Amino acid sequence: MQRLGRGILKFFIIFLLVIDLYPIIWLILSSFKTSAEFIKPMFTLPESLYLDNYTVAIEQANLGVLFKNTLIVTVVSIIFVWIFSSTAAFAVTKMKWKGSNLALLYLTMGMFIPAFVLLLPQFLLLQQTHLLNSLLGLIVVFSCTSLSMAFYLLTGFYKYLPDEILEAAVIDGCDIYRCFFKIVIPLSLNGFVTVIMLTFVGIWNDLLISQTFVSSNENKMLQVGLASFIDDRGNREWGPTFATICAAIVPTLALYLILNRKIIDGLSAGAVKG
Amino acid sequence: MKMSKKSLAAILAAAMMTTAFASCGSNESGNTSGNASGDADAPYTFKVISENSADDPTSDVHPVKLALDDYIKDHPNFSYEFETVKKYDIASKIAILISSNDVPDMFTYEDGTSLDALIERDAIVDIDEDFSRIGVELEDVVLPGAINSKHVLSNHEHIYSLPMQLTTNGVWYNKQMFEEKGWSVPTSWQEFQQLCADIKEAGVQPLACNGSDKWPITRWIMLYADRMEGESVHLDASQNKNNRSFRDDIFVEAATEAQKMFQNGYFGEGFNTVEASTQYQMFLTGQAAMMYSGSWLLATWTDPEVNTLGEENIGYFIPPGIEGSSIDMEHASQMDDLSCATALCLGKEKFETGKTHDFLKYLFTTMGDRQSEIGIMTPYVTTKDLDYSPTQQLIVDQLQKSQYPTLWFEAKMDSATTDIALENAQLLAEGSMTPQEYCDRLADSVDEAFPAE
Amino acid sequence: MEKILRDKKAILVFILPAIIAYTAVVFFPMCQSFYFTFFEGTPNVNFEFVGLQNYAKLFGDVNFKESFLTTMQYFFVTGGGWIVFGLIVALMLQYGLNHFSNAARTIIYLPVVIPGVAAAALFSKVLEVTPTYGLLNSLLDVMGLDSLIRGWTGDSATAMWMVCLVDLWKGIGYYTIIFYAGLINVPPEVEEAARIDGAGKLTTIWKIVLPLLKPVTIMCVVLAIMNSLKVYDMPLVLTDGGPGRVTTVLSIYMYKIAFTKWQYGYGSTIAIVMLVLTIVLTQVVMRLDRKENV
Repeated sequence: MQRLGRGILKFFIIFLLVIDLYPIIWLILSSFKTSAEFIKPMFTLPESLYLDNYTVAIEQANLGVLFKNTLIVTVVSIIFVWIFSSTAAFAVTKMKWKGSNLALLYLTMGMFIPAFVLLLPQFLLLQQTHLLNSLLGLIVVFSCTSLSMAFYLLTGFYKYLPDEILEAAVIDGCDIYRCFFKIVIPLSLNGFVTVIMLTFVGIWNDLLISQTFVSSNENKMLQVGLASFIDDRGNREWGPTFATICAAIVPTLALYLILNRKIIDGLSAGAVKG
Repeated sequence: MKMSKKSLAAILAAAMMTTAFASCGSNESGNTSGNASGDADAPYTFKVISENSADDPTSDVHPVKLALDDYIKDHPNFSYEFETVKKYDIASKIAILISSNDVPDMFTYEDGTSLDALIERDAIVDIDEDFSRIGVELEDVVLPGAINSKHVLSNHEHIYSLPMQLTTNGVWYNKQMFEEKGWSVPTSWQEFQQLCADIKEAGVQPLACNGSDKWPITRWIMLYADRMEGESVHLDASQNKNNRSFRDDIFVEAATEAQKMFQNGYFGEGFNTVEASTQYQMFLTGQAAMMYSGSWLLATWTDPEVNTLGEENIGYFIPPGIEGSSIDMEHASQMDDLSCATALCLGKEKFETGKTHDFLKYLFTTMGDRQSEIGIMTPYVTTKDLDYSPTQQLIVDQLQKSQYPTLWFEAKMDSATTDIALENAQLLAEGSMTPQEYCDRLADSVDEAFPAE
Repeated sequence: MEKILRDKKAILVFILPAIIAYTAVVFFPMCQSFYFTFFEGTPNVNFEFVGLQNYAKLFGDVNFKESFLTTMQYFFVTGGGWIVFGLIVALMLQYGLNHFSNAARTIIYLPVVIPGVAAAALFSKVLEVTPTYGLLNSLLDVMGLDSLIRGWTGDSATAMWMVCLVDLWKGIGYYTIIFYAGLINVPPEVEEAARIDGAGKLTTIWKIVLPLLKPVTIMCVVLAIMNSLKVYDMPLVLTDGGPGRVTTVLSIYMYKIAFTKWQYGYGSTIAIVMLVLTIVLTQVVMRLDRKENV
């Protein structure tokens, strides 16, 4: 009975893994098919590694520029998010002051606000500051809108840093800044990795914000480029379309696979204990 | 993440207070731009937004790009920037740009009632009033017929957009396939239905249809209604004019007929997701025997790499009249569907700076030649003799005998009714909405916008 | 120690950057959005004060009602699915697998990191019917299930379900991982004690483990509420709100009203209603938690 139950359980897990993986594998394999092969049933394997799809994708979809822009915006925004959230979370969880609960509430409230509630006012704001159509404008918006989630996760993290460590450091003569830089930061690396990864995924995968605030071709972001490429030739040229989709998911996938242990640990620690 | 009711209330109260300040801030900053001045040779970037990439030869703005390429050779300080925006995003893009006083020099937009929103906001150039400021009269560069049809379409005394192409819509058919299978061009609606049934019987999809664009579905309601009672019946019903309403039996009958065609499978499976490019591909590869579409395709069909069927294998006909209706066959055969829903607009604010007039003059005086060179049926005056390709000749012949032109189904509807017509069309076609319900909803919406007196 | 932790200057240095950035780019715009709900027209062009008219309009707007119901369908199917399946899968991972647990976790989380646009594009190919059968239809074809072949995303009977299912596929991993983390933190002694008392595995899970997971569950429900109410990418790219209006969720409706129908005020009103809805629902869930804890 026990064994049978376990067998069924295993079957379900394998079934689930297949459902999770198969579409992605199918996507990758299909990106190597020639246009003639798309007439055959969709589940057949490609006959050879046809790389021209990628050449077409890189040239036509302007992947180089899209990647460069997206990378700049994502990385710089992450740095800002990290600075803002790690310091603010520290002030709220570890330091003692009257308004700390209010500040906690105020900053986490941002998590509840759907992005499109802010769209129009943010647009007017960027326009007044002449940041429309620029990567800097996107960085400003992304840094601030991603802040709440990061802040929230980090407060969960810091809460479980034992106060005794800080006390010991203070007794050793550290001031508050050194405590933060020498003790809190090194001890929270897992949390940072999680925050960085989640922020990365959020910004890298965003469509709404980047589509609204940037209109010029040279500052276009990856998902916007992807969406318009699919719209433009998605139905005519399947191979290059699949290649473009693949190219768009590879960075997040790679980053995830490299960091996945830490992310899952970090996510659990921050989310669960918070 | 604990938030009590009390603190929530506090935040909302704070929100309301700051709001008051917000208003002061945003009111002041309204009209600071706009007094841009400078010498004529100062660098200028001409911005164009369109729904198709300018590099695509079928794109409406492709000739504009060619003109810009030529123009900047002599004007090194002039540069340009094209932006492609998905069709359904253009309106939102322009809306946003209007509120930030940043409307581009030129953009494509849905023609007809949709333009009203731009006109109300004073965002685009009044062509009748201001076009001549670029240094050439409208009548000297645009064909009179094209100007006329713009006036017919406009809900205002003046026109606010320029034509893109001369377009007419009809059924394109695979001549080669027709000959092989012994099918002939139908001479009546009844024959047309029989033909579709025969083609389906032979294992070929009769008509390719880009149902994801929605208008290709409503077109069949219009075609039937017009052939029953005349080419203006749907335009009248759209505004409760001449005692016409979508409640009339004729529209229920037309919607029933259109639904029947979709339900019979004449448009294949999954038509609601088929996009225009798929539709063309299905027709050109012989997956479908016919398709209803516009003459804008001609420009691409001269390219043998695109037109795998070959120009000589493509035929064209106007959906024939209905036997037993009050409209005779001759009349029906001249009922051209001159729908070209794309308008070319000029952003007013940029136009007023005067920095683009010289280029615009260059553009529109050479537009006719440029367009005909790449195979577009041009509404602009040409200086060279035209050399038509076989498929273009079909259209020219048809247009020459055209007596009773009409416009697309939604051309005269207000924007809310247009949405209802288009969105519900997909439900009508797939059979989840009855023709009666479809027409009732349309009529209700028209009644709201144009109350009967 | 106390003195150092109460250092006013340091507190300001730490908290101010975040507060300023957040206030300027998130909080202030939110207030502005709220302020817009009392207006109609285009900001900077013809903005007119209309009082509560936009709120009154909501009640008579059939499209709003439809979109609201569509969003609710998504909320219950996808949001609910995230929680239920996330929990079940996490339990399976924890109690059903001895080996490969890490690999399985990695794979289950994989769809989460895929961009919404890419996932939607991928699945529009999987679900395609014309001009060529996509992955699903061609599999059905081979299995002889011809009667099931259809345009999954173009049929009003199935379109919204497809949107829900694809997002369910994409999101389960996220909740699984959070539940899983909760499970690891259940002290082994508790389970052992239960086993010694003679409780079976299922009983242990039901009676001991699940109650301990309650805080994590609340957390997941709150996240699911927030994420499912703001859905945008998937119905936009997969079905563009159609066929008809079948997949027009509130966010798409709001976007179209504000940016293609020129009704910023009304669009903002819908956005604010959604914000309030989110806050109310999450409050209710957190309340439930607190009440039972007291």
